[in-house]
Order: sequence, then C-alpha cells, then structure tokens
Amino acid sequence: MLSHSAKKILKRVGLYTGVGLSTMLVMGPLYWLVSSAFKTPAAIVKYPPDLLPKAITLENFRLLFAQTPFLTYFKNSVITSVVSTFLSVAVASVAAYSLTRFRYMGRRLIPRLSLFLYMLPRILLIFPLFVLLYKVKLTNTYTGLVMAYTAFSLPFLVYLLTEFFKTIPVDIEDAALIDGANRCQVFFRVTLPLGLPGIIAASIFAFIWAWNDYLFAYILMSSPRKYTMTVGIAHLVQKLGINWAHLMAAATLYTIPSLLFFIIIHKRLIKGAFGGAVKG
Amino acid sequence: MKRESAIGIALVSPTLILTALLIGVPAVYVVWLSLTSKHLLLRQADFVGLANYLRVLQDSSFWSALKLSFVWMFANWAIQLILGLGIALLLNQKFVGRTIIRGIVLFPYVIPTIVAILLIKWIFSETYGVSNYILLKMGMIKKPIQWFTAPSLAMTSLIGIGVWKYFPFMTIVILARLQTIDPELYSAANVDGASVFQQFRYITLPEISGVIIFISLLRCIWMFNMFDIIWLTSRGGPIRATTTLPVYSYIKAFKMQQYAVGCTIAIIATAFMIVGTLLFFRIALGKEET
Repeated sequence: MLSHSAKKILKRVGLYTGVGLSTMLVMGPLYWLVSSAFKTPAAIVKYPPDLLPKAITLENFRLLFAQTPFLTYFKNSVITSVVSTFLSVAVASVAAYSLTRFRYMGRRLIPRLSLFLYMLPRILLIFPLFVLLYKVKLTNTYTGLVMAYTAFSLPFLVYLLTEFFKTIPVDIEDAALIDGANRCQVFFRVTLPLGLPGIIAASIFAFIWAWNDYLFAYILMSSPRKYTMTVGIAHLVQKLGINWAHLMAAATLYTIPSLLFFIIIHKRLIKGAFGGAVKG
Repeated sequence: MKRESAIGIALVSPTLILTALLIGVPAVYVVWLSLTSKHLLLRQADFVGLANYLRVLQDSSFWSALKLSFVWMFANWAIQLILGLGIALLLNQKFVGRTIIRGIVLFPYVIPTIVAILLIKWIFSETYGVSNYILLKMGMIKKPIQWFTAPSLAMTSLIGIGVWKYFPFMTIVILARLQTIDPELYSAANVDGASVFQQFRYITLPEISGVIIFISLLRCIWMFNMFDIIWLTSRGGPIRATTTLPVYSYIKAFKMQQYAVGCTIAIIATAFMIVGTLLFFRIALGKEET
C-alpha cells in the first residue's frame, strides 16, 4: 500500500492530467479555429499544416468585412436573438408563475403537454410553419422569426422555470399579499429577485438557441439583407466555395463574443440553471 | 377564488396561444398530411387514410433508419453521460484556474452547429486535416483515416461530433448538483475509511441520480430528433450509412418530394418517442416512489 502522502500526490497528478486532457479536448479545435483565422490563405491549405502559424495576417478579417455583408448578418443575429430571448423568458416566467401559484383546470396537464410538444421533430414542422407565416405575411420579417424562436423555446423554458419556481418558498409572497400588495407587485418585487438565477439560466438557454439556430433562419428569411450569421456563414460556403480563410475568420468573430460572454456568466448558469431539478 | 383562477389562466395564456398557433397548428397539419398523398410541389392532396403508414412500415429503409436512430441516440447519450460525468467530477475538485476552465468547457455547446461542423470537418479532413497529420506523425496510424467517407466509420465519427458538441450540457447540470452535496458526508466517509469508489457509489451516485434521469430524458429526445449535425456533415451518407429517421423523413419529403410520406415517418418517430417517454416515466420514476 502506498503511503498517505504518496496517494495524495498521485491523486493530484491524476486530477491535473484529467483536467489537462479535458481542456485539450475542448481547446484543441478552438485553437485551430482561431489560429487558422490568422493564417495566410496559402498557409491554410498547406499540407503538412503548420501547427503554429508562421506568419500572422489580418487579411482574412479585412476581406471578410470588405467582400461580405458580415456586419449585416451580425446585426440581424443580435436583433433576433436578443428580442426573442427577452420575449420568451418573459412569457415563460409569467406562465411558470401561474402554474406554480394558481389553481385552475388543466393546470397539471400543461407541463406534460409541453414535454410532448418538445418531442415533435422540427424539420417537418418547419414547412407548415412557413406556409402559415407566409399567409400572414410574416416571412422574411424580424417579427416572424422572433415569434418562431419564442414559440419553440417555450416548452423547454416553461418546464425549466416551473421546476425552478416550485423551489421558491411561497411564504414571503403570502406575507406580502396579506400586507396588501397585489399580485403584480409580488411578482416583480419578491418572486423575480428570488428566482433570478433561474431566469438568468433560462435566458442563456434561450439566447444560445436563437443565436446558433440555422434551420428557422434559413427557411424563414429569404433576402440576404435579413440573413442571420449562421445562414450567412453557410451562404459564404456556397457562394465562395470552401474559402477556409474567410470561414475561419467569420467563425472566430461569431464565436469569440459568445465564448467570452459565457466564461463570465457560467457561474450563474451553474448556480441557477437547475435549482429546481437539483433539489428534486 | 374565481378571480384568482382567472388571473392564473390569463398569465399562462400567452404561452398557450403562441405554442398552439406556431407549434400546434403545424403539428396538426403534419398529422393531416400523413393521411394524404400530398406531393411536395403539387397542390392536390387526396385522402388516403392509413395507406402511407402501411407503406412506411413495410419499407426496409425505414427500419434501417430506425435502427440507426437508436444507435445514434443511445451511443450519444451513453458517451455524453460518461464523459460529462467524468469531467464534472474533475471540475468539482479544487485546482488552479478552476473557474476559467469551467467556462471553457462550455465551448463546444456554445458555438453554432454549422461552425462546429465546418471546424471538425476541416480538422478531420482526410486530405489536409491536421488530425491525420498528427496521428501519422506520432506513428499511430500508417495511412490517413477516412473519418467521414468510409461507410463503416462514418456513424462513429458523427457520434463523435455529437458527443463533443453536447457533453458540456451534462457536465454543467451534474456539476451544479455536485456542488450542493454536503461535504460533511464525504468527511464522515473518510473517517470511516471508505475508499474513493465506495464514496462515489454510496454518496455521490444517489445524490446525482435525480438530475441524471432528468437530463437523460431530455438528451435522448433531443438526440433522437437531431437533424442538423447529420445532414450538414454527411447528408445521410455515405450510402445511407448515417440516415437516421429525421434525415430519412427529410429525404422523403424534400428530396424525393413525397411530402406526405415524410410526414408519416415523422409521426411514427414521434409515436416511438412518446411510448419511450411513458415507459421511461414508469420505470425511472416508479422506482423512486417505492
């Protein structure tokens, strides 16, 4: 048997090895993405490839801005993602509040129904959805896409926030109600602050889905001025052929903001996301 | 009391209306279409009853696709769970730079699918991908591996993409739960002389079983329905080696233009999932209640 301190050292080594491997697993491709974005086009297609870029260039980024409507795509992504996140979290939290604080017929049925809606395959639903939105002239509009994002994220968000709100004690709210506050005040001053971690987590999930979505943006937006970033990138592949230089530059620009954002926020995500399910 | 109910219903109605309109109506339409003979481009749709269903259930391609879907779903779930759990356990320990690395581990989940796929296709390209280069240089293989073009390897590579992209989801949730476990339990176990494995089995595992069940269900549903990754990477090929049910229904609907048949396949797939979920609830939650 090993001595106590030898065991400890072994544990430490094992831990750091594990962490190191996991980091490489995740960072490896990230490093390749970012380093490729700074390589010259010749260096990118070279084989054997340079593991460390021999010459760094900003040309790819410059060309990206000059030859493609990158900023437009980025703007569209930001608008649709932010608005739909705000909308879906607002609607979902109000619904979750209703489901956990009020009694009415059919109340228990709704979360189950949400789960079943969640099971429907999106690729087939998209076509009827397109036809539906086309008839009300909402295709190729921000409104249409935002509504689609909102509606499709609601089943999951309502489920998530309901579980979460269940863990917020009702006593404080009841006390406030007895003291004469109305429901509205209670919701905004008591429930929301207490439920903030869950709300933040829900917002993050909603935002990721909208930001990363390709299917809905592709089907519902037909004019290039309205393309979001994901569709834009795919479009670049088709239009310019596989121009890896541009692609890596675009992908880097699109990914790094979200990555930074998440490194900063992830603590909240871990804390808040599954407060409800965690206890259960 | 009545007024309270009214408020409650009012609060939940935006959700109900939005989902009924934008999800419910298309869903009903898809069910309706599965009972017709609608061609993608033609307007006419004759009612054919269950003819499509009979045809699909006798189609051997359907059963192959179903089998592939199960393989895809199960492999993804299992490996994501094991990898996610392992990394969560690691990240639960104290070490230098822990906070940053916990954020970095999210990376695959955060990037858009299309970026991830382009990146991975690029790295694992058999002609000029860096992965083959490294493997060749390290002497681990003799010639470049055809990650995505060899039928036998394609599904495995795709599962690899799915695992890489989505394991962080498991890690985050499990880690959140791990952090709420009372450290006293472990100290007491240490005093009693329990080994690391025993501690895992008798303390950790029971505590996290709840969340594991929760995310396993969601993951399985999500993976069973997954379309993007497979379609964007391999289009269901090579030679149908990666054609899962969603891909098959898409091909039927939009490539072969038999839109009604595509709908039928999707409905059958959903039926499988509903049955699976009900069974799941019965088994998993039934156990907890006894």
